[in-house]
Amino acid sequence: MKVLIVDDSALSRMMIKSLILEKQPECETIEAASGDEALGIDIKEQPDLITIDINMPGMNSFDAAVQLHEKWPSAKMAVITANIQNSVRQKIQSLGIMFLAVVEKPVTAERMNKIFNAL
Amino acid sequence: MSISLTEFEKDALTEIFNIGMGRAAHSLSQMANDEITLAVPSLAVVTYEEAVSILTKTAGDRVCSVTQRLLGEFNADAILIFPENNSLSIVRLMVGDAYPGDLTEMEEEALTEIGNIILNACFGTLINIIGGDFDISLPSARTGACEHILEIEGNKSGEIVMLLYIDFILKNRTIYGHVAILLEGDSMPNFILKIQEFLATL
Amino acid sequence: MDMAELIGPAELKVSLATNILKVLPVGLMVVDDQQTILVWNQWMENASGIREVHAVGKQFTSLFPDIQYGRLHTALLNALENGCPSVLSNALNNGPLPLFYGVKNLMEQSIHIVPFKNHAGERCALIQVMDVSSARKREDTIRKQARVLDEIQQQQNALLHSIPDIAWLKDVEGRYLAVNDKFSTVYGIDPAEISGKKNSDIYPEVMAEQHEITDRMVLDTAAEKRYDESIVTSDGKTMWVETVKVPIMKGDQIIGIAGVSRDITERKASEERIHFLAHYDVLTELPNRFMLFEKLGKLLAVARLEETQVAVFFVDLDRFKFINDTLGHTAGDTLLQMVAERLKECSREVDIIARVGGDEFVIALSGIRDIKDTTAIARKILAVVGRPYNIHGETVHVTPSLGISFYPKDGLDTAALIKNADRAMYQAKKAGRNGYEFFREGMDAITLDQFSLENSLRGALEREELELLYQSKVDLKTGDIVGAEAQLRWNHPKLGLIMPDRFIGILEESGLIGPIGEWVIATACAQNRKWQDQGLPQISVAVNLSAIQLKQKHFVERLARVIDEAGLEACLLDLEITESVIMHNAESTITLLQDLKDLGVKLSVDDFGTGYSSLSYLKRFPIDSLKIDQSFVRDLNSNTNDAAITSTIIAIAKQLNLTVIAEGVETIDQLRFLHSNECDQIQGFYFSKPLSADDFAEHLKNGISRKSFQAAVH
Repeated sequence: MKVLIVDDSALSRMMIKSLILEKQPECETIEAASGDEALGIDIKEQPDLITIDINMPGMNSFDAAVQLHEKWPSAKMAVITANIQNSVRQKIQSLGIMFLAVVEKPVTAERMNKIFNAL
Repeated sequence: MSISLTEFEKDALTEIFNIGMGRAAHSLSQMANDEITLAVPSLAVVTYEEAVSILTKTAGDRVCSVTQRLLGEFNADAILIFPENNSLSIVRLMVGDAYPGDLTEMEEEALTEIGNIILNACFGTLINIIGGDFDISLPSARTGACEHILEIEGNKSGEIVMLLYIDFILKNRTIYGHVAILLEGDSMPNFILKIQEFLATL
Repeated sequence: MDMAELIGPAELKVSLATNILKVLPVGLMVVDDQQTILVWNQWMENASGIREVHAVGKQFTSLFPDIQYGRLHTALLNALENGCPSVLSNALNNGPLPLFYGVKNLMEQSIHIVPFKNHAGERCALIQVMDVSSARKREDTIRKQARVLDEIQQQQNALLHSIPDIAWLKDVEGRYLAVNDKFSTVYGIDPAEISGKKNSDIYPEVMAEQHEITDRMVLDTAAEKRYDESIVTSDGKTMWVETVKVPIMKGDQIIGIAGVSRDITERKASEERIHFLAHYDVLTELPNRFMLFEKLGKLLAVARLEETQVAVFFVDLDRFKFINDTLGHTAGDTLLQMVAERLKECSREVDIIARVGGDEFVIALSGIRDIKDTTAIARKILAVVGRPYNIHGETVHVTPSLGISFYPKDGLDTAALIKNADRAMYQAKKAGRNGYEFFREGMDAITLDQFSLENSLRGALEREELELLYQSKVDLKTGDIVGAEAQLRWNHPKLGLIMPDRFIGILEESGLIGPIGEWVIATACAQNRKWQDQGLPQISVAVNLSAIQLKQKHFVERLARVIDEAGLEACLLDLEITESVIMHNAESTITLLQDLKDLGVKLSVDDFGTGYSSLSYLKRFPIDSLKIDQSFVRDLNSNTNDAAITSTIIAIAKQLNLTVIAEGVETIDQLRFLHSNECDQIQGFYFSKPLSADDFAEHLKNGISRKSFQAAVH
């Protein structure tokens, strides 16, 4: 399984990657530090799963999520974020994308399971 | 003896504190019944003198602060600092009162709680992520001149301070403040060690 | 033996701990990492109503089910799991635990949660609860008061800003508390920045000092201060204001000052104008007679001290009346202004020039050392004033006559100096005009020395020096003589015939107007009766009344008696009162006139057109006729204004059903004009000059020749 990890923090990318590989060592991971960077990735890469932090500076993360979904409609998406207030949850739901899960930072194995179980 | 962090280490710390802020914001927004965003736009590692100078310049003459102490594998004081009128704004926006005078006792207590939530989140997340056994003290609030706020027992001269710049966004108003984490003299190497140990596990 | 030995250290500690828990004035609970309650103190018992025995060992959440998922619970878990202590402030947390004081009052709580490790290293949490109910109450009151204060502040600001005048408030230290918009506009200061500023911060030095003084006065006396002052605005304009400062009292204590300043620039301008008019001649802008006395008085005082002399020049323009009549009044006015300027050329700043009469001026020069110097000045005045004038394109010449007196030689006070300079001036006129004369004792008082004349006048009646002459009034329709005006003449043994305008003033001032006035009326009435007895046509006789006579007590009764004694019918007596006298105090005059009318006499308004008539009063006066002043008649044919005025007066008189008589008719053209304008009667040299009683009898008998009358009017 190919996973695209979109997060502006190197640490978080590392942590997520570490947890994914822990759970499923055969996974391939690609990283992007911003929505723009993620959209810039060659379409042929075709990830199976995209995790996205919706609290990134620069391009509006919600727009990024939508555009990423349009780019790779078959990929499954999960939100990993530090900001999990209700208002944010509602916003996420309003995007009309079937997210696998909304996971709270800091990511733990337990929290990542939410994603894996949903796959 | 100045030990500096690498870019990656700084980025890691910023992220850790951001995560902490996210959780604090969650708690606070439930209390305020309104959306609150807390973010850490930047982190700098400076000396004590530099910290005093920066804070006096940006926070002004009168500041409100909430302080908590971390004791364990390394010792640190975390001080949340807001310029006085910003503190008034935060408290009054959250309590929902436009009282025109100086900070009252009840309001200072509320500020203590707000600071406590934020600092707990910072410390808590840090400890969660890098691990370790620590004792955390109760928060105490102070109002006064910047230099006095930063004076804690022991000679702080030359010691390392992590200075976090914070955005506190409530009711479409952005309020700027700082968290100063003063690492006690020999705590710095231990601290760096703990960070590096953790990063290595990734 | 001490406690420790008796009880043992461990038990001592436990006993101490138990006592502490009992007496601790705050709520204390301890839970373990399973949230089981380990400690529950007395305070908690009292506040929750839950006995220790029922609390210890129970789950915290079972004791307080409502706290589940709430802030308190989360904080407790955070303490137990992560070792984070928490503060739950009263302001942000509403009664987390169901604790009460009194009967059913929910307690305002302030809660601290502190994690610690027990002897086994297990996490526990201490929960402390404080009752802050009264503190909360106090704070709420303070907040309320602050809001009220804020409101009052708003109201005060609204009030302050609603005042259209400059308004401000200061504290007892003289620091500004608030100012209104008008203040900030005038002084260019932002109201938001005024707080705490003092007078010296806002006003220029002198003004600030003034304010300090008046502020001090108000504070010291606790009394209002009201005064006018001149202020300078932020854009440099000068403004007059009336300022009121009042102390703000709280019981007996002064807590501040309030002030309002009203713009009185207009009023001030009016006041200044009035002052100007009272002291200065409007036409020439020179000081007037009143001001002259003031100024000259001061000049003399200085001269007295410095032992110098002051020269007083009395300047009278020769034949000015003639020039005025020839060129018209506008030109005459312009001429006077120009003369005033010429006179200024002849004097210094420190000297005084005043206009004291129609064509009369007084110049006072100080610091005269040698009388001979004044000769040069006199010559200069003659030369300068005598230079031709260009008025509206016409070249005009006018010359002055100068009379000069000196302080202290010719008088010690202003009146004396002016009088003597005046006498000297008359000498100059007598000597041929366009010259100057220095005053000498013994100079002829052609101006009729008041004192000596009055003396003469006193005996005039007894010495039969007074006589009445009569001038006929002719009806313009019929040509009949219908009346006679009695005119007083004084045959002075030394001075010859003196006309009434020369001594009427003395009559009035001396009080002789009473007896002499009465004599005139009595004589005229008796004379008219005599004419009737002689079989002459019946006419009315007219007598001029002065203001003084009218003011006499019982004038009406006296008049009635006089008419009665003369045996004349009242309707054959005509009382002529000048327009200005009648209009003066018009209201009270109406009553008097009515009383006179009730006697049956006729009333005429004399010299009509020369005073300031109010037509509304004219309507109300019970008068019978108007006499048009001769000044209008004289210029009827040369001055269209006068012609228009005359015909207008005739028209008005006719509208008011009054008889109108024109005085001073001398030419046939005047006669014709008046006739065509339907004037009722005329009086003047054309038909007859004033005649003696006997001559008038002849004149009345003959009447106006029919033929010449017809010829004249057609």
